[in-house]
Amino acid sequence: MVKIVLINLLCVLTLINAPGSLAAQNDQGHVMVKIAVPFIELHSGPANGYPIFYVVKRGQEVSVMLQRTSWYKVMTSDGVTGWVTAAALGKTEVASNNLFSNELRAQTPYLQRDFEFGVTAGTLGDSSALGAKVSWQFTQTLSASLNVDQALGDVSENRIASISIAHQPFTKWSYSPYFAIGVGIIDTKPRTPLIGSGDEKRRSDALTFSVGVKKHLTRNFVLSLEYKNISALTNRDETEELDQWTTGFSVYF
Amino acid sequence: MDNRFFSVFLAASTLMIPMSVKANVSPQTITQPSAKAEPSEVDPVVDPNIARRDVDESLINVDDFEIGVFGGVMSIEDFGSNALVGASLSYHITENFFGKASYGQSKAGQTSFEQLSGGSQLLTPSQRELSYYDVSIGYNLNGETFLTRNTVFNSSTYLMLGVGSTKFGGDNRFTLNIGAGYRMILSDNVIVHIDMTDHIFDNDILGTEKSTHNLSFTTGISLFF
Repeated sequence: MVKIVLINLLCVLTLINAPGSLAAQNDQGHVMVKIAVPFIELHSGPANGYPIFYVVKRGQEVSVMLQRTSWYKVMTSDGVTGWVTAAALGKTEVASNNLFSNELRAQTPYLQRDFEFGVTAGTLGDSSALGAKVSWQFTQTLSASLNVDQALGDVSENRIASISIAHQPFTKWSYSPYFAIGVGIIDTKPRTPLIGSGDEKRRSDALTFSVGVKKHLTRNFVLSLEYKNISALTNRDETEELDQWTTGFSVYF
Repeated sequence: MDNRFFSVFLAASTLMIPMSVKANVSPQTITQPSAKAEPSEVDPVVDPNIARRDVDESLINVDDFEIGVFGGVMSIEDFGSNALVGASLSYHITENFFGKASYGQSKAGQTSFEQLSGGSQLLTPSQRELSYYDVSIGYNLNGETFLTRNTVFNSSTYLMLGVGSTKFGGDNRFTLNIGAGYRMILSDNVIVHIDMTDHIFDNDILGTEKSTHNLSFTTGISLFF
């Protein structure tokens, strides 16, 4: 068995080192692909709104220079540059008997995401709130997040920093629910004109519980809606309960 | 015996790959020789199980981010129009949607009351400093702009909606911003743009709480990376 592996390894290495046998890159280091469908259309820019100005026929090679969103900038052997969709480039690869496979894709699949960066807006109690969040998806269903929220009310300003662990059990659902628990700190600062400057700032610890739903909209873009219950462990006798409702979007990588 | 036969088959099939691939596949390609076929089906001329290959996408430069600086005028309600400077970072999600975070700062002038009353000040100098940050989502309407008959640039008009926080008069104020802009793409990387934004926030500096509209008109340059 070891022998088989060694022979194969040797073959693969020979394949990689053979000069000229695999000129996948041109002089500038661009990936070269061959058109296998009857034709592909080149747009003057990376969007459908930009007109088609050139057509590359079957059998011609183009070098892929740049990617922006789901578009690739390519250059033909005649030096014409234009933009093609990932879908068009993908089709050529599938049609060419998997020579390039269909792996030239414009995004990481949603279920294989590692990091997610998001922003949210909503309400915390009676005040308007905005927040930012970065998550690390360490398994398909579990993620750890760092959240920073700022609630700007008429009387005071709250800043909340928290870390949380979220569980998203039904990853394949189109609208996928999740639950999260976390710990954090809340800084409360009274507004200046109303109460007068120099009033004390307060800091308390907090426990958070959230429930929400995520929707993968397109490419690496995710929408979310979340309810978060925040229990502020104040120095006074009672625990303060705050309700936060937010909606937001995030991008993942 | 089986093992040896199998290894010869695998070696032969792997060596055949360069012939079928020609000059198209990256050296970084990961090859996965097909090992599913029975040794008895070895055909030295055609191997139907061409190994799947992955193009190494890291060879393709992805330019979805845009970073830029801008400058212009901001009209702070009741406090006159003043210079505004700032910076922004955008991420292009699709050809139409983008997310944008921006930071700007300006300095408020005097209200007409302060000018006429001669000496009474509503705000301290540090309270006159205005700074804001916001996060918006934008939608592009893509098209081409013909500067002259033969000079054409790609461009887009875009609409933006976002939220943020504005520090003014000593406090942070929740801000809703609505804007529209126009960008002209000079080259693959360089963009010039003009933006008009309404920053709406509540303000009680003049005694009563009211919603103020603070308009900014800016122009800037940014780079894709």
